[in-house]
Amino acid sequence: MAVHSLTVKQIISRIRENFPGAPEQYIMTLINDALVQVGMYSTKSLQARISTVSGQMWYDIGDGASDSSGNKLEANKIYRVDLLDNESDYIRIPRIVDENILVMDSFQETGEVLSFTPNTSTAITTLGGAGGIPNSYTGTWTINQTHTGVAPHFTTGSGTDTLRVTITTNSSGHPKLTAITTASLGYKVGDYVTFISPGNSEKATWTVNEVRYTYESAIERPD
Amino acid sequence: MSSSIKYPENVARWFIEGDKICLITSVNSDGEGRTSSRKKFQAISESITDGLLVHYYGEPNSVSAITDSLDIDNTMHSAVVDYVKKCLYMDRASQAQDPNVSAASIQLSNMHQKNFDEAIRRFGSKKRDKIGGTRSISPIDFR
Repeated sequence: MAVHSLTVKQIISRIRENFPGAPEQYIMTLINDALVQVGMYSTKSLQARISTVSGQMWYDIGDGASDSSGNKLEANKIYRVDLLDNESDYIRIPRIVDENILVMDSFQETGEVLSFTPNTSTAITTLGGAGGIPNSYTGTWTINQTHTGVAPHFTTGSGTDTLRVTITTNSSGHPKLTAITTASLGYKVGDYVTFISPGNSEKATWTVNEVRYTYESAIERPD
Repeated sequence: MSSSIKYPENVARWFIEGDKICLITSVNSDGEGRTSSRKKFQAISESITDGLLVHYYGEPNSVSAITDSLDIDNTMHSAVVDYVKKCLYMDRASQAQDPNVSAASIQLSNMHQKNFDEAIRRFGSKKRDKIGGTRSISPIDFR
């Protein structure tokens, strides 16, 4: 036996008993207004999964926010939150009412790399072993070259390999990092980053000198 | 990435500010409790795929075609009719040239407003709740 419910068409029919000339689109707009009103009460219970991000404190639950599958959350009122444990079970975690915790969105020590040592006007002139030694290069870099879009070969930190730089060589084959064309996150001041010569696979290593730090929150905060 | 947190109920907390949910934990990336009690609760140290399961009351889907059904319990459908009529009677009251028609429309609008309010506020929880059956207490077994 089917449950009695009303479709939009049936509602319009009912309305037009009293308002024969009421436009269909206007009635639908009013129906949607009513649904927003009704939605403020506990009418539609849903669950959604959100992936956590290391170091991120805030997660968006606004009307435009999405869950980890990309579906819109459209949350009105959250009444329970579970966190995945080490046995892949979701365990309910408590909500705190007094949210005056001491640490709020603290500083991260990694960020977007801004500059290296030696700087963009100084070539590396020290030959050093098999590579990976800071401020040194290996073998013989091809002279008078400009290599663009060079990706990192190795880093001592956790920087992402989407970093791209431009490296030039002088008439002595000394490599010089002249520009950071694509900055990327995860670098810490003091990290060693080794690049490989696209011409003959020789190595040169620079030290991260400066980074633009990011905050724990990935959500834009109001000014 | 999977979780290494053994007892989330003991080490994790959440709260809400505006349109943001805050997740804090008292363990570091090794799953060990933070030694500093002063800065005990900080952002989670792990990136866990589908790590949070959030239970919430959501917005009903809007309607866009006359063949659509309302995305709310059928006990609330008549309340939607009341809401629409309330608005239309208010429109009629503002447009009517005859003061008697206007007064009657306002009265009808108020009646439908009252019906709507009672449906979703006064009797809303009674209509919506799916809880039934006799309440019982499960006593602790002292054996």
